[in-house]
Amino acid sequence: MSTAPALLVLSGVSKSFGGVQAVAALDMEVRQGEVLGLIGPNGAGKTTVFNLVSGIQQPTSGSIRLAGAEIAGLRPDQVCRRGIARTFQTASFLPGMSVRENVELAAAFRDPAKIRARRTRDVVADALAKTELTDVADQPAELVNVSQQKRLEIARAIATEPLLLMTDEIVAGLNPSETDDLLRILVGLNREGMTLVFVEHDVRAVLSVSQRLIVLAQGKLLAEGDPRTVARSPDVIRVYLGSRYAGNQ
Amino acid sequence: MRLFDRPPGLSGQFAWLLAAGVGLALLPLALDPYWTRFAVFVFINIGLASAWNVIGGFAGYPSFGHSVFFGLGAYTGAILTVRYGLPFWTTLPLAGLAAGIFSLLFMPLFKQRGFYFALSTLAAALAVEAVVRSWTWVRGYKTSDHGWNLPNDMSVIFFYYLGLALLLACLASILLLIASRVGMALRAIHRDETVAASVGVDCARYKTIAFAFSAVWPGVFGAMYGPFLVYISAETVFDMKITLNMIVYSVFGGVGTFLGPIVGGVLLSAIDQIAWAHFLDYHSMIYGVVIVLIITFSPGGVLSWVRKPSGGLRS
Repeated sequence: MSTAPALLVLSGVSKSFGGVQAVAALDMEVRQGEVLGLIGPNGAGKTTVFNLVSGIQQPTSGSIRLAGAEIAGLRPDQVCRRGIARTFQTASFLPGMSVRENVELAAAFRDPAKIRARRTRDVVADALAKTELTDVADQPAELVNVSQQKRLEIARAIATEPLLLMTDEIVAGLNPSETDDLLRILVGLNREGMTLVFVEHDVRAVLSVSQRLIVLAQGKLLAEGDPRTVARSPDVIRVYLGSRYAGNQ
Repeated sequence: MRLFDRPPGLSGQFAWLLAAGVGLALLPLALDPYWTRFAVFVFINIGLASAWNVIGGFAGYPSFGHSVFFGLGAYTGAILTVRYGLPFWTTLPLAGLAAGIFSLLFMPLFKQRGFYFALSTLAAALAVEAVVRSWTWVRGYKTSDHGWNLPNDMSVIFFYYLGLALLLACLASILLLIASRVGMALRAIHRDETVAASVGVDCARYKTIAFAFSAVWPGVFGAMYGPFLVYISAETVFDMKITLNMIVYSVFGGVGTFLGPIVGGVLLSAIDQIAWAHFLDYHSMIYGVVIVLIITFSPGGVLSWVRKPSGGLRS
């Protein structure tokens, strides 16, 4: 298991919507260079955690630090320029634009220091190549297939040259072959040094790529550790399948 | 290949604009004073619609309060001319500046979208108009005045060339804007603001730029409009119909496209004139029916007949 320093640290993060506590005093960290799987049943708070980290929603309380700097309270564009990129649960390409233009947008608005360091054109070409989209780069984003649209989301995210990439149910709706292709791309990005947080319902996909696993339930951290060990934990089985199944383990 | 499938680059667009300007500069040779005056109104209306299209079309924030910036420009020009004796030429940029700065007061409204944004801008415009109507120092030279009389010392031909020059400058600035990072950001905001923000687009900043830009030009045209009409009042320059015309011209031609407000402005002005000249009793009805038919059966506007739906970061 990775013993690398923490890249992202959430301390006592809570988020409530009226009377509903979506995330409750959550403490968790993402280590530099790891692939962290984040799972939990529906309503566990996974997407809310993503929204809090990426600035789409603001925490009710708590601290979120990226590479030591506080990012809670920042806008999504500021969080992005600090080095966090994300994908969305539903395909969120920008219609009316080609695949390349979707990626160009992200590259053009990345942190100015990164723009000075590397040409936008090179970043776009690299992102398209890494996600195997070069051949369809000039097609309208809405006309490429679902697998390519998912990869487009990753291409757009990595075109911001992030420190941390968070994918939200990125393999949902893909067949096993397309899922394997996409996971191969993500693993390749991780091997190049990118830190990944991987929210997924497909437990097979999570276990195949994650180096560490965190399980959320009702907005709290339920279990954390080696993916296969955590997946066999009675507590985890209970929240997914009910106490009757947990007792059989 | 269909016409406009491959839009020309920025230099090509400027060349077309220049050519159109040269052609229009020769037009007064063939026009009588009535049509010359009519052309001035068309230039102003196209300029207003094109400016509105930046925020309403490209950014997808349909403002229903843009007549405020036109009225503000007209009143700023009138006050600077009559109260302070400033030369006409200096009032144009100052009126644009005043409208642009005033537009920043509308920024809190950008927390809303769509229907709510439209209604909020409309309400804000009505509030401003009410202030102008009741603030005696602003509404006229004397306390009892309800408008401004302006010097009548410039010819229709002068206003024709001034209107044409301002329109060309307005359109050129819009071409530059939509070809820049601002234009790229606006189109991304229009399509999906959350996604745009998640890839680093500072949405609030670019919406502010777009809104201020789309307010400056109505301010400038407003400052020109006062001396052209010689008399202005709140009823004439803060009229809600001015905003509706901006929207209708844009939608009729093709909202969110550079050419849409131009095409819409020319065609609707022509239809309006023909209906007015030949069917005076039914002129408003004919004008309205044509607009309803186009919007119902061709929601992309007239331009959608000859080009694909607008797309791309730089279209």
